[in-house]
Amino acid sequence: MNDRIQSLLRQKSLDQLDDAERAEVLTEMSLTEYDVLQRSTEALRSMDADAAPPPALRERLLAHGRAKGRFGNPNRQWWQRRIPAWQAAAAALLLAGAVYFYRDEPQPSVREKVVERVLIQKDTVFRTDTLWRRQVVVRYLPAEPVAVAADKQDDLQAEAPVQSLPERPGTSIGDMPALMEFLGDVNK
Amino acid sequence: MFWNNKQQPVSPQKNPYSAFSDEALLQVLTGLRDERAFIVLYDRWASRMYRFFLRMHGRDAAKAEDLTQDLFLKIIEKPHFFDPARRFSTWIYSIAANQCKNEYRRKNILEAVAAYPDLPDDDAAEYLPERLDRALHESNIQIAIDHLDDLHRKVFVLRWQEELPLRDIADITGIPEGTVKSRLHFALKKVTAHFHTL
Repeated sequence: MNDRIQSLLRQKSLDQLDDAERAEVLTEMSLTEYDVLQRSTEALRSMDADAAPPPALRERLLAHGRAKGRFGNPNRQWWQRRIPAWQAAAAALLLAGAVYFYRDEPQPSVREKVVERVLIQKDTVFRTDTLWRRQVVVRYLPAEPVAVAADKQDDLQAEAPVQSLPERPGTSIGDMPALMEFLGDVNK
Repeated sequence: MFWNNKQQPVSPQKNPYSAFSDEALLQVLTGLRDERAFIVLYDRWASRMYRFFLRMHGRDAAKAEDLTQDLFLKIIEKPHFFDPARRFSTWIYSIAANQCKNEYRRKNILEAVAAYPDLPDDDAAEYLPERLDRALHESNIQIAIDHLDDLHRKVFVLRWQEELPLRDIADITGIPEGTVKSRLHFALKKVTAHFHTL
């Protein structure tokens, strides 16, 4: 069936065809067939012409789109816009990687600090041939004779002081030869 | 705030996308995701696609509604699947035609289509138009369409109900234009034969 016949089927019924068009139709089909087809296609076009989905369908679709975040609000600012989950995950991954990278860099345990060096130098003093000695000079003086009465001889002995110093614990000088030698050198 | 996602209903007069082409609306839906673009698309195409499904599925209103819903859900979910090189009308009919094919496959309708009686001679139905009133004709034409198999029904409905050019039907169905013509011719013969048997 050529386009011309199809065009006629959409536009004209059998009664509206002129002789030339009828002859053209007859090259393809009988006039009865044309009539049936024309009525059928016309009925098909007009049939259910008012049919429409229920209004609730549109609301359901819009609600679904909103619930799934498929619709954006064009009046939102950029920071209010939703982003896909993979973008959020990628950003979080990048951030975590950056934090890990900088945290893992080896840090010195002791912080280095440049300070001015203070060098204290003390001269060494050599004390050579210097010997500090404490000189102890013991002099023995001749005692003058004392005249003591005969009857006082006993008293004198009785009055003679008795040194009874308490003994103290310690080291006797006799036990320290070095000290004795040191003291003995005095008279040399 | 971002969680306050509710918008006020948009009246057609205030919808800024009313004058947009279908293809531009889909671009808006892909980029800005503005639901007002979807509303315009829906208002333009919902009834048309609903009628297409209605015809393709024996005037089953519930089935037509389900398929219409699925079709527009696809547009909401995956508007980026639209190829800007194609026309929107071709694209949406392609989706709808695939939906029908899947539905037929699911219900195994093809097996239910019985062998059709042979075409009668033209002369045998000489007085056929006189036997038809309009209501009867409409019901019969639906029966005739229902008796077509999927391939022929699709081209028949697209051509005679949707009035799409052959080139678009070829694009939608993915078959050469010549094949569309032959299928269309065969479908017309089948429909005619149906009336001849009345």
